[in-house]
Amino acid sequence: MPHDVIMPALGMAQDTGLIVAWHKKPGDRIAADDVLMEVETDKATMEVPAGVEGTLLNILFEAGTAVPVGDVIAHIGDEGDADLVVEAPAAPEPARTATPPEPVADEAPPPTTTIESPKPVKPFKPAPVEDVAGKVLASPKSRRLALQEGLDLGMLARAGIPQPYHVSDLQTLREIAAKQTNFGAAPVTSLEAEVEGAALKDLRGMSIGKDEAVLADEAIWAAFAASSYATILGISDIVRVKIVTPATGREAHYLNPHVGGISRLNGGEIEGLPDIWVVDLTGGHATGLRPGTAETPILSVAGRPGAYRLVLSFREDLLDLDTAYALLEAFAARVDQPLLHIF
Amino acid sequence: MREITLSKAVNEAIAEEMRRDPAIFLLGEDVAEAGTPFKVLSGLVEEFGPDRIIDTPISEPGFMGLAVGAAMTGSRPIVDLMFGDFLFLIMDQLCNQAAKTHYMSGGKLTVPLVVRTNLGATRRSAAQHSQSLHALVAHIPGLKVALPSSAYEAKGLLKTAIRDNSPVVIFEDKLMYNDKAPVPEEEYLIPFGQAKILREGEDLTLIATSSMVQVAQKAADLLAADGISAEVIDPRTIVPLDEDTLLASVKKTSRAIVIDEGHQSFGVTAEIASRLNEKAFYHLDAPVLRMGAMDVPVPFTPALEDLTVPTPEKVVEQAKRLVAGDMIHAA
Repeated sequence: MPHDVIMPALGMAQDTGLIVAWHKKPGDRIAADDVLMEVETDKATMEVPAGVEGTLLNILFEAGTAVPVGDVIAHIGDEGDADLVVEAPAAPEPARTATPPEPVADEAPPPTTTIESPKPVKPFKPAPVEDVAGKVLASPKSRRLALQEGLDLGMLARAGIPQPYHVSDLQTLREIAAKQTNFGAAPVTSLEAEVEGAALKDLRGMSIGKDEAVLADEAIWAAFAASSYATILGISDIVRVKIVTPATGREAHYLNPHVGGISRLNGGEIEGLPDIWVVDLTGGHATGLRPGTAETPILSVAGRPGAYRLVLSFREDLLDLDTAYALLEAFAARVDQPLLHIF
Repeated sequence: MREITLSKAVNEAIAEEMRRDPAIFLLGEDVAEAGTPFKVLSGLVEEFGPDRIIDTPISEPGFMGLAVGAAMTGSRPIVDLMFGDFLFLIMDQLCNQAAKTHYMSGGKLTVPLVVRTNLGATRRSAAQHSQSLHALVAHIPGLKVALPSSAYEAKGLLKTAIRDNSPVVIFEDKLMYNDKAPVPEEEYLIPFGQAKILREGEDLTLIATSSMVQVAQKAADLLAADGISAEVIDPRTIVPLDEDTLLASVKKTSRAIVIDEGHQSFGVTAEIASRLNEKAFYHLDAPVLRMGAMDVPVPFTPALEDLTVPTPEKVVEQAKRLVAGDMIHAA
């Protein structure tokens, strides 16, 4: 059975990817880690590996085409599929929405009901629906089947596939879930940074003098994390931060603390996963946390004023390295020069 | 098998039953000597005489009250209500008296009467002669409601209605009187509360009543041409309603559109959709859609009148949205 190659979600806020170049042509033998194509997002151009071994059967979109995340762009088959190879790239897609015939203004309506061809139905799903408080929109039947099969519909959302989900989306979900099972949980990458952060004490004294020191620290990390995340990922909506302090066992959630001062920080409950998770190890001897899984980017902050150590852990299938690097740099810059954050 | 019109099928049902049971009589406006509404009753007064086929004054409340009394005291009247719109005139006799007498007499009295009337727009009869008001009577416990969708259905359901010991309101589609369908010569009855699967399908279920059954079948043809397989079901009676057949179908197809010519709001489509939602929720892959007549008085202008009722094309459009997994009425 041919394998569908889909436009991958390379960034967390990516709707489409531009195919810059194909590195293989139909008929080529491919190993799973061969580079199949280059894809440009609004952040970066990346080389995308084939993911499966086999023969490239066809290419559905030529280089230079922007394709929605999740759409099938090519097929890879095994030897049994060799006769399915299509040499030339498929003709460009027809216009996505056909225009219904223009009504003739002065024509009287037909006296009897005539069978006209029904209006063309959009062949594509509508634009992704905004998350409603972290809820995944899915039909009752697809929910029931997902539950019975132990599948998480949220995986579809995180893969950038537009909601709402129906039974027909479960096959995609099974494939995503199988991939994760086959290779174990996707590997977690960590980036580390050291930063002085001596000026932080000024910020603490200046803006949150009336609060307890521990809360002040927590609020500062949450605000820095949220504003870094919002800036680097281009989020203008709510950013949800979870912050954990192992030394005290304290766990807190913050909504929308990005942009501007710490005074805009709001506490609140988070449904589902946070956007970024901060672990506050400061004041102890621990130098960083490297978790085994990272459904959401996890940033540990350790050390003390004058010598902070930051570790950002993330899954490269969810957050690409370039973005992660920019995110860590943005956070470190705020620790180093808190005025950056305020202005 | 021979084919006869719906009009002829109704005529045969009444004649056969009246020959069988002398307690049956028929009354209404212009049913005998004065000529018969929609030519349905032609020949009956000649066979059964003016004592059993009775022309009444133009007073629906009066002859309906007469029929309720006659039914309570041993007769089996068939009330001919020339237009379904005139139901408003007989509401007390039908809903407060006929529907409740069996219950309020502790079961001592029965009211075996049939109200034969009609529904359906697009006959250019304007707002007071084009309504489909079956939901009004279906709402009242104690009344049964039959909605034949062809000549075959009309004959079998009317004969069952006449033999039923409860009050039954049967609505014929006034545009279908000349439509022919195969009807056997030999006697048959159609039991109440048994839906009919007219076409089997896999992708969605079209549940349609009366005049809308043809619409659903045409829609199913159009959908088949596009590779969408629609199941078409005619409930035949909405009280009693054959939930089992509807639920089994929707559990199979996971999608449904309910089509009925009554106004869409607070109507038959809403009731059926709601039951499917309650009892097949975890089998639904899309919201159950209602398609009824537009919530406006039926316009007299033909061009506007035609816009108010569901058509095969409108059904096809909605069906494709459901099958495509479109966001229906996104919040």
